[in-house]
Amino acid sequence: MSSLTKTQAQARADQVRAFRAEQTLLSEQGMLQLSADTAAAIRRYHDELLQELQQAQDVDLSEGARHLSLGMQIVSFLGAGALAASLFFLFYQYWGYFATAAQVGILIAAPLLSLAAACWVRRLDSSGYYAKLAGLVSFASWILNIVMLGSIFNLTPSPNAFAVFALYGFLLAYLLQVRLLLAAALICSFIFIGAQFGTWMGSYWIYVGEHPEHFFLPALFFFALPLWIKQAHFHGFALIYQMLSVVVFFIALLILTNWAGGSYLPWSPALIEGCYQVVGFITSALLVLYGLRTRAVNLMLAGNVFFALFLYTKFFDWWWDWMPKYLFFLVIGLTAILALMVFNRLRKAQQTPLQKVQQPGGEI
Amino acid sequence: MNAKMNSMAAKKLLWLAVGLVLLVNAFILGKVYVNRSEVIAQLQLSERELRLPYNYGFTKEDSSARISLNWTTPNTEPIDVDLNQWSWRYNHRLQLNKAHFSSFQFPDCAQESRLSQKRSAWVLLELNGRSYAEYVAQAEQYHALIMGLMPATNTGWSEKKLADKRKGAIDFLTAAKTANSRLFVIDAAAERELLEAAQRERQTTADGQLLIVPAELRAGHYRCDGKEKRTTEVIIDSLAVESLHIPKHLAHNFPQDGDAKSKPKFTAEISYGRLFEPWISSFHHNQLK
Repeated sequence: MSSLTKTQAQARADQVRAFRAEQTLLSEQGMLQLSADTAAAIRRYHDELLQELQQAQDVDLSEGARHLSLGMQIVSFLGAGALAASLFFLFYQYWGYFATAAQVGILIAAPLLSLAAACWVRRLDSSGYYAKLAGLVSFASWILNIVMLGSIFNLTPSPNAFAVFALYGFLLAYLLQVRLLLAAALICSFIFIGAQFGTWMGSYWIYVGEHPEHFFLPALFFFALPLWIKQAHFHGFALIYQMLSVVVFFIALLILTNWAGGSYLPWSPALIEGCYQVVGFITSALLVLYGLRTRAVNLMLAGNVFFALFLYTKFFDWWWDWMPKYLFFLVIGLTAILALMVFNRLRKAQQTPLQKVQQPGGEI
Repeated sequence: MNAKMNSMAAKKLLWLAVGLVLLVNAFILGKVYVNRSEVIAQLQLSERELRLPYNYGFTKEDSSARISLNWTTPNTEPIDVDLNQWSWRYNHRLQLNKAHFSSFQFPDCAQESRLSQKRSAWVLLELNGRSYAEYVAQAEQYHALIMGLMPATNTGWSEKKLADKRKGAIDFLTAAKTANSRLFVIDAAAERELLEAAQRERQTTADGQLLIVPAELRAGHYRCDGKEKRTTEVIIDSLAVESLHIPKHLAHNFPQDGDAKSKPKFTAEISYGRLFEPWISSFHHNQLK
């Protein structure tokens, strides 16, 4: 069972819980009657399995535990942010009292000590929450380390700082299996690659956000990365790679559909915005289809949201000034109903194969 | 077997993380060592060219000491009675020659609204040289112009308004001679070599100290509005390094926050190294007795 990821282990535990519930229901209705020995053997096997899963991957064995896990994730996220802020202000409060050598020593030691603490805590705590907290503190210490060294020695600001933030973030994320650190590392990567593109195109790196086209290639690269390098052993990593890439890609696209000023294309603003609008509709629709085919619910939802955003910003551009407001919102409402009908048909199409195999005589 | 492989991968990641921390810190400290191994220029600056930080409400939270370089660019506006002293004193606009301006390869005016006008650049700094002398001369010219005006005859101003204007001109001249920055950005180009030639030429004709440092700038606002004389104008946004950390051994008499209102007097020696990054090599707070 140790070879299962947390997602797989949780799915297995949910399957066992669902089987038990269905078995109880069928027994009460008299449709399933197992001998006492068989029932006890199945129960014993499942108990052992659940215990093993719980020890190996800290899975939730009840709805209550699942809700508490979610609460713990939120609390650990807030705690990590607060601890990072505390570290930042602690250093600012006292760093003026240290000589330069001591400042450098403290700055280098901080990420290393917090990394050691994270690894030590991970051995003691199977849930991993405390190790994740320490990991996030280590990442914050690393940022502090680089930023403060730059400040102490009056170094020229460079986008390369984001590259080293990203590298350390990736290493910590895979070492401690922390999705938040992976997200932070990805954001740093986007900034670094965008800034590097900006420098190659001749502008000053700090204005990385002024050209959304810089983010298209890195977004496509990080979207494809989990398809190329499988992330099966890392719970939720593939989703973080793809969701963050999707959000960055579509936000960049959304900006360009409304502001051609950020584009390098040598065409008229109207043509650039028009082209990006078409690209926006096509890619968001493709994302919905991709999400349906790969059963990636979050990607499908993201595709829906961005398709709606492209559509509604266009409606706003075309009709907000021209139409009476009641008519404008009526059109919005009608398009929502149309979208509902399309989704309903898609939903039925998805369910049809399942209904066919459930016909009498069919095999499930 | 799987657990063993996981443990080995975790160990590898751990050592990679430790290696990254040590390697990057070694690289930064090595860069600092290389920069400071040779001093290419030293500037003796005072509170005229250095300003205390604003701190933005973090004074109680930040125990460090920092100062920032305070510089301006030469004024090219004609001297008249409506001169804006404030924008003159904090001017960041700079007129370049065609060769230096074209080195930035700013896009055509037809594309101006859609393409970035911001660039990293090299700028030529001049301390207490010809630019400052011209600035004082312009302040004197303005002072003479205002003092020569008569109320309600050649100005249409009341006596009170003219008296205010005269006081302003006296204060402006005094500030130009005793308080305003003597540090000027006098030229800029995308390549350092272009500025080195300008520096050699300037050195033979002017006093003062000259130094080339990295900065960031953008094309002037008026570049594409048809005003021919401004077509090669840039706006210097900032020097690459403007804010300077004062090490603890030099910061023992750094003016406290409350001193900022009483305009503390201090001097500092700023050294520039091989990589054109500055540091403070001495700092003296001239406390008022």
